Amino acid sequence: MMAVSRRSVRRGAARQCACAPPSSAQGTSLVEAVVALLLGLFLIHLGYSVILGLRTASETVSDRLDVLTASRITRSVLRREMARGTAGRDWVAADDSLRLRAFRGTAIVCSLGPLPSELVVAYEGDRRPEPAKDSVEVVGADGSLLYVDLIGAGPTSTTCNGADSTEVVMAWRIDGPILDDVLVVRLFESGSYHFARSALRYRVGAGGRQPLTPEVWRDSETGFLIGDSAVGVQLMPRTTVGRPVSEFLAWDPP
Amino acid sequence: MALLVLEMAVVGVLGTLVLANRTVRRAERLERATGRVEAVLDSLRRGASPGSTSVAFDDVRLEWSIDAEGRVDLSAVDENGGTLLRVRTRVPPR
Repeated sequence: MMAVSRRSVRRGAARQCACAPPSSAQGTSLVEAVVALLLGLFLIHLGYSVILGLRTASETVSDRLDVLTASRITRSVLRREMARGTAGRDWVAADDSLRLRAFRGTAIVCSLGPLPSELVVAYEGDRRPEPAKDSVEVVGADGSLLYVDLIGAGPTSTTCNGADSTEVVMAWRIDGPILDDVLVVRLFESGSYHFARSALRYRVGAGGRQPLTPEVWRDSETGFLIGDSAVGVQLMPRTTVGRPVSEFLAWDPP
Repeated sequence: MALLVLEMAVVGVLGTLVLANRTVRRAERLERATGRVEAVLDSLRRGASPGSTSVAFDDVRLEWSIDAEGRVDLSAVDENGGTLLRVRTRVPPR
């Protein structure tokens, strides 16, 4: 009875040894699991941090590029428009707006047309004339200027001596008398540029203001700088990453 | 091994960010220099005397020389002495 009892105890002990590892091995496994868990969490945290940092940096770079783009468009558009006209006569700058005759092309007068108030011209410009919104500046031989509306523009069979391949020979009808000694006619549209709702906007006549740049400017600190002899523009980015920029635009003779 | 790959990826990403930031900063500086150069050339076209001049705008310095025939050689230089922009043109001599 005693022998049976010892054997069964030994078998039980053997079964116990086969099923469960020593107590020291159980502790090592738990520490490894905790370390692995912490390391995994750290890596996940690191991954999220990198992704968030990348996103922030990407947005910052994108904002700076938008500011650069808006600055370049503003400077090039305004300088070109103002250079085509004369300060005071063709454009007037105020705090946040610039009203101007926006010249879009020049035509050399070839001859008077068969109809009253019609001119045959050799025209070259940024776009084709649009009588619905365009006017013309008629320049006489003595330098006199006359501003009238353009009421018609179309092709003509009349030839124009001296016109080159970059010019289009057209018949223009204007709303007014034609000077006998007219030499040149400049096409323009009346418009205005505005710094409004964080962008530079252009308005033709009484139309809506169309944005020309990304909306990146701080309205309260962006506008034209009117000096004694020059006109510039101050551009203040809305984001904190950009620096204020002051640009020269045109001379403004007194 | 996996950690090594991850570290290399993080270093690569950070390096790309640094390069992108440097490129944008250089573009901003070039943009400012271009604006200043346009302004100076606009002034010179109103009539310029022969000679050499240098003007500093923030972190960009403009150096130009004009000869008797109105030929202009204009450079925009950054604070490290590197040339950002160089323009050769002609203006009406005074």
